[in-house]
Parts: sequence; structure tokens; C-alpha cells
Amino acid sequence: MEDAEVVVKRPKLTKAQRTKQLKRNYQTNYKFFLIFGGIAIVGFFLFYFYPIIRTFILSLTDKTIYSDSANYVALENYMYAITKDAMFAKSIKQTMIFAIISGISVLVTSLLLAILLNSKVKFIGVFRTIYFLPFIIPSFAVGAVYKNLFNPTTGLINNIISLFGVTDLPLWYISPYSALRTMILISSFGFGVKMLVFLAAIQGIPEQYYEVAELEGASKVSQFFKITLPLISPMLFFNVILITIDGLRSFSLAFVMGNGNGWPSNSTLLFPIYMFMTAFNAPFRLGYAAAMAWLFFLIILALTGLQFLLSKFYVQKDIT
Amino acid sequence: MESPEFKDTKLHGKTLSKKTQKVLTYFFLILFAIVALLPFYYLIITAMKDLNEASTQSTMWPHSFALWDNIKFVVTYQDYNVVRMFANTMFIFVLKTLGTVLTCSMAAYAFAMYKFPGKKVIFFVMLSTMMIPGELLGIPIYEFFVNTGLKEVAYIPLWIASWFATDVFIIFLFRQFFMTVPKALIEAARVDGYGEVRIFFKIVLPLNKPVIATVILLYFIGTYNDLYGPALYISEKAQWVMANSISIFENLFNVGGSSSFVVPWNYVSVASLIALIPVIILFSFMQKQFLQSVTGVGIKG
Amino acid sequence: MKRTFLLVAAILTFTAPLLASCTDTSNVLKIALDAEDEGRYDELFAYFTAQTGYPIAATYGQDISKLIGTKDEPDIIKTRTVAVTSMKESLIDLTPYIDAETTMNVDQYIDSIMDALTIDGKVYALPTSINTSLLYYNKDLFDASATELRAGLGLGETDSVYPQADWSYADFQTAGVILSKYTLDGTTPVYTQFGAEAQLNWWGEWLVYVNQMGGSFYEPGTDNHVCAVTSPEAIAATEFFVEKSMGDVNHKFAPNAIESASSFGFMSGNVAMVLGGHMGDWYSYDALGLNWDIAMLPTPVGRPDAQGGEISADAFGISVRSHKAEQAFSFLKLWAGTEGASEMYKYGKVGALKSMETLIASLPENETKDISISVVFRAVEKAVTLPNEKDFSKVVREMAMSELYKLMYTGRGSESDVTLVLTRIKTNVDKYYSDLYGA
Repeated sequence: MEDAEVVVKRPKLTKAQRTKQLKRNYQTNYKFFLIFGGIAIVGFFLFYFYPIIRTFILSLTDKTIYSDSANYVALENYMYAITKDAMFAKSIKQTMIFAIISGISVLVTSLLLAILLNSKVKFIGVFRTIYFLPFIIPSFAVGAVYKNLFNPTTGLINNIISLFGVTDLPLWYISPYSALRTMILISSFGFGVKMLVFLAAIQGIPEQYYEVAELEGASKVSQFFKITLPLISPMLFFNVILITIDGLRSFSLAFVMGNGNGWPSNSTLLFPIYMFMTAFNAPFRLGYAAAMAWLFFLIILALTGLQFLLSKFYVQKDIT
Repeated sequence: MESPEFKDTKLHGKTLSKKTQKVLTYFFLILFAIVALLPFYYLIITAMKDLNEASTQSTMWPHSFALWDNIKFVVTYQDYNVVRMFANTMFIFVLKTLGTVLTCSMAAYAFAMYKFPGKKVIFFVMLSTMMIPGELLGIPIYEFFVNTGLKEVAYIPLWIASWFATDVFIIFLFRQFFMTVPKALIEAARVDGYGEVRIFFKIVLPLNKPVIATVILLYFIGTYNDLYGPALYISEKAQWVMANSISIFENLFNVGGSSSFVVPWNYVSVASLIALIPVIILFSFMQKQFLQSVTGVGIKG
Repeated sequence: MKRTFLLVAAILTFTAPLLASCTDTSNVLKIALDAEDEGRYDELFAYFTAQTGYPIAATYGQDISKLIGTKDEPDIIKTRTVAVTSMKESLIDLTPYIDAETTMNVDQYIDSIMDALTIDGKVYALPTSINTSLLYYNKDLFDASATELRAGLGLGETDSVYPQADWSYADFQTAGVILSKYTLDGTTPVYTQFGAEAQLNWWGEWLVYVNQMGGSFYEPGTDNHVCAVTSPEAIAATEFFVEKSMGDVNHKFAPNAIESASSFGFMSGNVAMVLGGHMGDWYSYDALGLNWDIAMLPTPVGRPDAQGGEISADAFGISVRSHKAEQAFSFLKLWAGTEGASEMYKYGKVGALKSMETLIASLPENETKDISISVVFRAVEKAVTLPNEKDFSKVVREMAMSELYKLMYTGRGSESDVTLVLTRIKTNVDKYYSDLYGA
């Protein structure tokens, strides 16, 4: 609903009147917000706030898993991570590259596939099930399957490529140069849920819009950009957030493909892997891992905030 | 919602006939279907290979045929009690889903329907905490469960969080859906004298069956494949879950402390395929509801 | 009323377990073992309980760092020679208990192992099973190339074609090249079999060469804070390591990085030898039906007594938070003594006792393995423990092996100048330590 043209002037309230209005608000709104949302707020404090604070305190010490006592070192861990730890910098860089590129490719792939799956052909339901299948393979088995597929000498992918006469076959995950790219490519297969979200969003667009566009002679491409995209923009944003989170927290795939340590040559060293290695491999620096995690969290916060800001430009809230 | 019918339409200025469109569509559908099925193809042929070939070679077509032997080995393996593991997993799944549906819908209702000072900020903070690497949050929480002795009681650590609306993604989903419920309906109920809580349970919630279906599907797959959660809390073999049914074969030869033990991929593949059967069945049934669930979400932001 | 109730409940929740653990007066000794150990030692536990009256409660497959990190740890903790430096704050000093003992002392264990477990004069754990670098070989592949091997190595008709204890790197290379089969695709050799593996993922092979050549990873006398990989010995060792995989057809006998990732491996049956390896793989080799045996490591030409090869061991200590240290020690004596060693040998674990060799020799036929087990004990005499430095594995993995990897393939991002790569490694490692500890 558009705001009325005439701006209603708010009369100045006296203190008594303001208190009265607050009380009224409480009765009608705030109270119920708390009744319904109370448990979520409690849950947030218990399962997120408490661990985060404890982790923050941990990050100010030099605690290792096996030490009984820990020394307070203030922000030393943070300074070290930012200024001196080359591996930390590398892991952040690899994670950003991975999250952004694979994020974009998953977004594009799932959107295109959603359009494809929207076609009115026979057996479309079967196709939809098939496209969702890669999503249900357990994550720890995924890596091994894909590792075999992308094996440079015996894998199916290179076998197929060589059929086309290509002689200089890519090294995929063996070369430090291309290992991250290979991982990005593999993660593009994770379009399951997002594809269905897009599909449903596209199906939510009323027929008439396309019919009118057809009558006016618009091409399919311009129909896509002028009708489809704007109308699914809220779900687009939803998927963007989802994909970003997935990309930044990606652990299983990198763990399997990198043999748990960023192999080869630290090219697949995503941040969650590096944090895992710091805390659970000798010398088990828990305090330092906590500090790194907090720095990473700040980066994520900034990135998400940025996306929320950008969303103002492309998300249309209403289609009446 | 119907998809646009095939008519003679323009694409980039060129006109494509109905037939060409259909052919193109089928072509791409099948092409990508093959790509999506590749991992499964590999899983199936690996299940057919014998131990040596499956673990040490990456052939694209089995040279040895040991499917029956592999299945026999897996099914009769001493610790492979798949029925029990399935039951355990279902227990966790049901409790988790119930908890989430109840508490997250309530939380979403609060954010969608009622005003509160700083509501947007609260939501943003909750959303961003979701992005913290879970591994780090897990340690203090694990300590808590150990200290209270609840670590291994009825899988509590694995589902208790869902009763506190900790899945922000689901809250997000519910919220979008709630925003599509016509305000008039709720107003009418209020006028009729229904209390807010009653409105929620009797009217709003039943309208949102598709979202519930979504939660069921996502949680089923999530709980089913979750290896790290149980690995942290479960130590008794009797309490193993479905994810264990596959990982026991992965570590079959991990006995000497070396990191280069051989992994019997043939057994792992068979166990994976057995585990996948219920999931595929579930998905084929719930596909329609899941799609419906998100239909309403895109209409209103 | 409600508030006080909540407060009391909260206090109880957090203090109850604390009280419980301190007042645990039962004699149950808790021990955390690996998943595969389940059921194996029940008889031994029962024997111990019968002797002393203390029951044993074992958990299997639980990650020890998780248990310790959340203060849920058992009385008896498993550690390793590599990890004991990091874990020592969670373990008690066993020296007073050992000194009070008349039936055993630390001399009954292999010296180098005990050195690794003794920090600042305090013994933190007792060893139970060792791992040492060996030369593994596939008898079937050697038999198949017997004639060429005899010719190449100058052996007589009745001499064994298998690796011998006096092999030098030259013999190793000669045999390896003979055992590497390839066909020519134009001018490019395409291999179908290799003489030896190339270990690229950890230091188990490269470090052996460095040590045997007389070099070391750290500069001696620098408290393990200065890297020594640019020494002439280390350079020579690395060149041998690289040439093994990247040399021409007369020198190449191991797969490079690309070939390693495909189906070449000792376990695949198409690579004839492994230098270094890990004794934990014995189980996998048997499961795959390989016809394998072990031999002494080859030594550099002209240095037949070269020290090299790694030795490490699993060990068990007692938790600092255990209230039953004395009882736990009585179990530890048994566990790390002859009774435990005999039991563990049934599952392929070789104990760290000096008397282990005689112990195995005295076992009945059906309990011995079909391999040259005495080689293990000869190899131990020449083996070297890893540097006693808590960041060692991190530094070697992240900074050394990752860079060396680039020498082991050709393609984008690969390197070919050994000295350059080693210099880069040294710079990075030195910088790491100076950042950490100050210059």
C-alpha cells in the first residue's frame, strides 16, 4: 500500500500520553511478540549468545586443549592472526574466492535449472526428482565420489573430454593451481534446495503477465529480465543469503578433497578447515582458533550487511 | 500455477516453432539429468566392484562383479544393525521436527505479526549468528551437556536446540509465509473474540502445511546424513544412527593409526545405497507439498 | 519463591557433577581406547581385575582431545611420542611411581622411545606399540621381474632378488627402475607399474632421506627454531627424492603427483616398494591380499651406517585429574608390560619392550606373522625420533611438504629448482618461529 500523499502531522504528546500509548502498544503488540517469540530469544541466548561469549573469552587466552590453566593475553591472538599468520590470510582469501564464485555459479545454475524445470513437458516430475538427487548423498561420501570422477588420468570427466580430442587434459584437484576451481565446480552441484525455491517462486508468477507480454511482442529474453527476475527478487535475496552462508561455512567437501589439511599446497585451505586444524591438530591451540573464528565472524557480518544493503536495490517487496 | 504454453514465440528476435522449443527443452533436460545422475552412476558401479578394484582403482565400468558378495558382507556385518539405526534416527528426527515446527513458527509469527522496538535489529543479529562456524559453538555446548550428565540421555543434545527455535532459516521461511495470510481473516477472528494464541493454533498454523512439509523434508535429509553431531555425543553402538551405517565401512581398516589405510569403497557404496532408499521414497511423495510451500513466499517480500 | 528455586536448581546443576567426581570412591579405572580395540582386551582386563580387584571401564572410539577438553577424561590416557609434548600438561609425572617399583623400570623399553617420552627428566607415559620406517616390498612383483633384477643388480642364480639389508640408494634405484614398466606413446613414456611410491602427504619419506644423508630439519642447538633444509645434505636428499619421481626413464621409478593420484599405489598392487610407510598399514595390506614383506631401509652410497628412518610409539599416561593414580599405575605396568604386549601383538602391534623380539620368537607358530619381523628390531636400532618440538608437524605439513609438492609435477604452478624451493621453505619456517617467539 502506498503512503497517502498527505502527511499526517503527529501531534506532540505529553509524557503521560506517551506512557499511555506505550502501555497500549504493550497490550496489543509487545506482549504477544514476547509470548510467541520469547522462546526463540531464550534459545538464542542459550545456544548462540552463551557459546559466543565463552568463545570470545577463550580467544583472549592462550589456552590449548591439554593445558589445565590458561594465560590471559588480551588481543595478542587477534594481532597475530591479522599481522603475522600467513596461513590465516591464505585461508580467508581462499574462502572468499570460493564463497563468491561458487555462490554465483550455484545461483545461476539453480535459476537456469528452475526455468528449465518449469517447462510443461511430460515426465517433468521425474526430472525434478532426478535433479534433486545429488542433494541427498551424504556429504562425507560426496567428496570421495567426486574425487574419483575428476581424477585426471582415470576419471570419467577427463575420459569424456578426451573423446573430443583434447590432449592437454586439466589436472583438476591435483594441481594447486586448479584445485580450488575444481572444488568450486563440484560445489555447483549443490543446487538442490535453491533450485526448488526458485522453481516455486517462478511458478508463483501469474500467467497473465507473460500473456500480455507475448501479445505486445516481447521476446523471451526480455520477458525474463522484465517480468521473471523482478518478481522473484525476494526469493533471489533469500537464496543469496543461503548460498553465502553455505559457501562460507563449507567444510565437508574441502575436508575430503584436501585430505583434511588444504592439500595440495594449501590451495584448498578454507577457513573452517584451518580453524579445525589449529584447534585439533598439534599443538591444539584452542584460544587462538577462537580468536580466528571471531575475526571470521566479523568478516561474515560485514558481508551479510553488505548484501542486505544491496538488496534494497533489486528486491521488490510488492507486486500488486 | 501453469507454465507458459508453447506457442510460436520470439527468442532474441528469431521465431522458434513449437516443435523446436520442445526438442530444445528435452535436450537440455536430459543433458543436465545425466550430469545430476553421474554421482549416482558412480555409486552404483562402485557397489558392484570387488574390494580391490573399488578401493584402489578408478575404473568407469566394473571389471569385477561382486555385487552380491558386497551386499552379503554389508548386511551380515556384525555391527550393521540398520533397522535399529533407522529407528534411532527417526526418534531424533521426529523430536527435532516437532520442536522446530512448534517453536520456529511461533517465533516467526512474532516477527511477522507484532511490533516490537528494535525488531529488525534483533532479526539481523539472529541471522548473522547463524553464520558462525558451528564447530566452535559446539565446544561450550558440549561441555555443558557433559557437566549436566545429559550427554547420552535419549539423544537430548541432538534435538533439544530445536525446541528453542534455533533454526533461523526456518523462522525466515515461516515468516515469509505468514506475511501472506490475509489480515482480514485474523481481524475477523479477533472480532469474534478469539484470543491471539487461539488464532495462531487454530487458524494460521493449519494454513501453513506446505512449510511444515518443507521442514519435514529438509530435516529428514539433514538428520539422516548428520555424522558429526552423533559422533560428538554418542559412544554406544546401540545408539548409532543412519550416518554411522555408512561410516563404519569407511573406517573398516582404520586400525593401526596410519592415515593411509585402505577404504573399501564397494562396501561404503552398498551401505550408502541401502541408506538412500527411504530418502528417495520420502522425496517422491513430498515433492508437491514442498513446492507448494514456497509458492506463497515469493509474492510478498 | 520461584527465583530462589531457580537459583538453587542452577547451582545444583553446575556443582553436582563436580561433587560427584571428587567423591567417586569406587575403584573403577577408566581408559579410552580406539574404536577397533573393542572386545580385544577383555581377557586382559579380567585378568587384571582378578589380580588387583580394580575393575576396568573402557570406552572406545572417543576422541581423547574432546574428552580432555571437556574435563570428561578417563584415568588412563592414550598419547603418542609425537603428541606428548603438547599433552604433557594433562599427564602426571610417572617417575615417582616407577622409582618405587621393583619389578620394572624404564630401561626395559627402547631407549629412543623413552627419551621421547621423557621431558625435563619427567616420564609422562609408557609406550605400548611402535612404528618405524621400513622398506616394504611386493614379492609377486619382484618375482615377476626376477631375471632382469639378477642382471641389473649383479646377483647370482641362487641369490634372493628381494631387497637386502645392505642395499644402498644405488641398489634401490636400480631395482626400482627395473620394476618400473612403461610403454612409449610416441616419445612419452606411459607407465603401467612403478618401482616405489612417492610419499607426498607427510614427511614419512622425505625426512628419512634428509636424516640419512646427515642433515636434519632443524639446526642443532637452536632449540628447534631455525630450519636447516638448505644444508648441502638436505639439498642432496631432496634432489634424490625429486629425481625418483621426475627423472628421465633411466632414473624415474616412482609416480609423480599426478600419477600418485590415479590408480598407482602399493595397495593397488602396481607399485613394488614403499620407503617409510607405517606399520598401521599392515592390516590393510593383509586385507587386500598382498604378498608383502619388509626389509631394512637402503642407505646412501658410502654411508652404510646412516641413521634415519623414523621411530614413534603409542603410549599411555595417567590424567592429572585422576584420583586413582596409584591404581592406574598398577594397570599401566601390566598394559605396557609383557602381558599387554603379547595381547597387542595378536592384532599386529609391536610393543616397545627391548625384550619384544624374544617374546615374539617364543610365540606359538600360529600367532606369528609370515614376514621378516626381526627387520623391525634392526631398523629400530638405526631409527631417529622426531624433533621434540610442538609445532613440528604443523610446520612440516603447512610449509615444507606443501612447497615440496610443487616440485613433484609438471604443469601450471609447478617448480623445478630444488634449491629455490628449499630456500623458500627455510625463509618461511624461520619467519614463523621468529614471529612466534620473537627474534
